[in-house]
Amino acid sequence: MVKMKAIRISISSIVGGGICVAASDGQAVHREIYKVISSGERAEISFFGVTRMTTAFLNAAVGQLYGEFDEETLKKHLAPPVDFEEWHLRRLKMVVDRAKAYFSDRKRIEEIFDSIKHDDDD
Amino acid sequence: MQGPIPKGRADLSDRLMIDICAYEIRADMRGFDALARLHTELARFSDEKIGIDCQRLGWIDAQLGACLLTIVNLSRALGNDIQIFNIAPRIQSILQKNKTLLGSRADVHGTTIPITQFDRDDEVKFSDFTRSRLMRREMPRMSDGLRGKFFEGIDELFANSALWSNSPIPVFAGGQYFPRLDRLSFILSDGGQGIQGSLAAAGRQFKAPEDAIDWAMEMNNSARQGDIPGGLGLGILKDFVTMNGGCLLVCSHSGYWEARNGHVTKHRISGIYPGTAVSLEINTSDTKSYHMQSSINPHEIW
Repeated sequence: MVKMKAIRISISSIVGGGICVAASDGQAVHREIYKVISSGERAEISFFGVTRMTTAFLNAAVGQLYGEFDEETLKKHLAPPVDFEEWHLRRLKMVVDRAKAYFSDRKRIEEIFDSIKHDDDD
Repeated sequence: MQGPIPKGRADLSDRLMIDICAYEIRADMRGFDALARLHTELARFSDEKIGIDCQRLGWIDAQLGACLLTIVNLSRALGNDIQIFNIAPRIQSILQKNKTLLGSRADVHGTTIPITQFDRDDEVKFSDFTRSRLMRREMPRMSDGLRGKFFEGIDELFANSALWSNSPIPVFAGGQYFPRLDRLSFILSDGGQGIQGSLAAAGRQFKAPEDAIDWAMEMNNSARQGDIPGGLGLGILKDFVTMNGGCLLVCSHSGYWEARNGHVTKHRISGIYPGTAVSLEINTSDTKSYHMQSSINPHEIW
């Protein structure tokens, strides 16, 4: 089995500092992670130097990945985070769990709408 | 003009005078009712010279200067020119210290977080501001866990306002430390569409504005639709305040919601507050550990 290369994604380097509070900065981090996953590599997210971090930032950086890839793909292409403090992981876990629930619910709602639409078409 | 409010001399004024019909304005339901009534009065006029008459006012919680500036700046956006009249010297001094009123007054005790305006995309500037103000030696010595939770709470608050308020004027934020009471108050006020308005824009209707606030304060509830999930910020803040023994209150248009000592109450106020104000008051002597007992395995995140 060929081991995938892990590409380090340093949040504070992308954002340009440790204050990771803006959703727009989260988008910049998301773009980098997305690129790595799309190219078949493994993204290793580093929290080095991150001093402040909002869920709005993490939702944009990581949460939306669960609407773009299935969970198995993300498990395969996201390495365990590195350079973290306990609070980084707590918040990340909260956002990831919320994202999984949000997108599974959204899929369920879309399925309901689809079935209603099909009923109307019939 | 979005700066502090100038003071005028009543005996020289030919302005249209609007009375603040309150003897005191505190961060509670009555206080927000008085502020909302002031806004309702001011919103009737455009391109006028208006004086706000504070003759009856004997007290205002300093941090509510953020709300006054929201109300005054929305009126200024209608072309009105606003001045304050008949203000008691003690209140004038408090409101000058925190930059609500024009005129310099030194904050000798260093307990004021001056009312400062931020644009919606000023998240990083806001974080820098709060850090620099709260790291001053006059500010409370909070445990690292508490300080972290406080910063987390106000960052979430700002992010929430930036995402949802749709405010035509800047957001105003500031606070006050009360050393004898071990309390730190912080407030954020926007002049936007309100919580009920942003939920309605996302297709979620509530009969009462206070019910809309109550729904938004629950963890995982969000108006968010589309590709980015949401719904954590306000819930985090509510859980933190409950653990800390502090107080969180939200006034949004005519809805009022408060969590104090773990007890939630909601009310309707008679006026309409122009947007949303969120006030966070924490107990700074809290020594609880805010670390969860079980640590998270980094191999089980995804």
